[in-house]
Amino acid sequence: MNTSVKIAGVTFKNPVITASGTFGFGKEYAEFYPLSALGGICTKGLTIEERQGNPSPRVAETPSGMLNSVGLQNPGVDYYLQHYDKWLAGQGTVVIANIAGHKLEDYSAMARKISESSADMVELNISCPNVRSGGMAFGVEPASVRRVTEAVKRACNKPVITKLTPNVSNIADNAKAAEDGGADAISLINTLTGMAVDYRTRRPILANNTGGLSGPCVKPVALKMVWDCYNAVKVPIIGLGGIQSYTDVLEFMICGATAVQVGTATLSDPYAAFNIAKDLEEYARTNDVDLNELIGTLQLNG
Amino acid sequence: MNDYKLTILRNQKVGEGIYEMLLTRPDGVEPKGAQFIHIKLKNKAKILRRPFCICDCDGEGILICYAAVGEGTKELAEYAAGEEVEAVLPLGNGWSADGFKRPVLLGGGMGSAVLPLVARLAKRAKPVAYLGYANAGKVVLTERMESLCPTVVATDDGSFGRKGYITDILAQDITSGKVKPDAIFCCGPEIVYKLLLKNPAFADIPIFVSLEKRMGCGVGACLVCTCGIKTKDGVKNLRVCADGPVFDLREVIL
Repeated sequence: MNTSVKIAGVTFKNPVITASGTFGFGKEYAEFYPLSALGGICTKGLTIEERQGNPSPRVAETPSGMLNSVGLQNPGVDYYLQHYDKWLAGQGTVVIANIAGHKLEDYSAMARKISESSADMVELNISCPNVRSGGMAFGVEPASVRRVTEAVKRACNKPVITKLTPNVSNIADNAKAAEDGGADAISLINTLTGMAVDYRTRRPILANNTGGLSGPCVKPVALKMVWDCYNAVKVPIIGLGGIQSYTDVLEFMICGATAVQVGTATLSDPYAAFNIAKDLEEYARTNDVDLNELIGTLQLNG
Repeated sequence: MNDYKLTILRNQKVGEGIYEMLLTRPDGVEPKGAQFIHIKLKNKAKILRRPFCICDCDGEGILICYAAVGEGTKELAEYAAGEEVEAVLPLGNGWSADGFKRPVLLGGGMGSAVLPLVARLAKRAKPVAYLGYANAGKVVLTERMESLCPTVVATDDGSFGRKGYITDILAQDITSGKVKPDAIFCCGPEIVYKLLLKNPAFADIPIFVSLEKRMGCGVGACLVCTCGIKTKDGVKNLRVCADGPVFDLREVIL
């Protein structure tokens, strides 16, 4: 049996990575369990300058899901490098620094900063739906997906993962654009844009009006998009969207994901990623499976 | 802090749409005043936990007091004694009345739910409680508070206790010298905070408030429950769950 997977030369002891924005920089969850149990950690989205994010309410529960409009609140990359970089490097798990920006130059500058860090990989957030003039703006048009990926690849000495938004007409085109831009891997899906409305006040619940939908309700969308991308690109895919259990992970791997990210489930259950990794190992042992053999083995009905 | 399976010892209606739920206390858990508990609902379609202040904690168990106003709290109200719920606790920084002399514990409506444990754990402070409610039907926890510290109760319509807004009643008692708090600890709807800031009777008194926001993780990771707080570096969006839930009212951006 084997649970380890490899992406761009980086070995993950299991395919379970925590998704950006749901796990902070890991410190809160290190109080619950050793982070070394995880395949990897993806940090909260980092920007050059500290960001205070959007006004609250920033969260609205929806059936089997939730909307968030945090708006990339983070302490800035320099604070991250001073306060979290070294600590994260000592946790015995793969560290992926998630970076975001407003302009192409921001991404290049961030890539240079992270090149000096202990992070193992970089994830390029060009798909945040909650920030005006940036973020998702880079993620919609294939040409700009390619351009920003190229810029980061030039400036960065670490493997680059381009994170794709599902809010496009054909995500496979964007996956191809990321690959053409030199991405070492792609991750998908980021949140779907949505709105929750209070019929009494006739207002959206989120102060930002719209937000990003996540949780188990988006899983079917994510699985389909992972499969679409798997058939369009050769680079490894990190699948995410509503994963709550080890069987969800198996489904994503069968649709073509080499690894997965667990996000919203951590909000419901602090042990979610830990338990999923543990259950996956149990599954691999009981069935004597190498998880790598599952990747992309989906057989469509005639 | 950890995730525990707790048994519901009782869950009963105590006012109009208001319930008390008593839960088993896990060994070694000693919550501080104003800390909270994050309860997972059984309906898996409701994926976010619900945060409740720990109302009281004694030999009986852990008590929460809640109004069944949303889908989550309405579901909670249907749980029966003997059922188990999963909950992370204790969360947040809490607040202690010790260090102050005769502080006032001020509760507006359901905000009173945070006060019993604060009063119980006050060793030297000798607090006095002021509890205000809309009307007699909404009055809860007054007997429990009276057993813990001197307590003044008022309703807006005078149907129970003194008549008037609790902030006006406290202001009268301060002006007349009946109480001389060196701090006010308050939980209530935002209007209570605004009235506290507006009334000159409270101008020289430190005021601490226990805030409530829509929450995600409850442990400080997801940044959805933030509130603007004035700090030495300007206004920062701090996390109500992990940096609070108690803040200095004069630093809170309402």
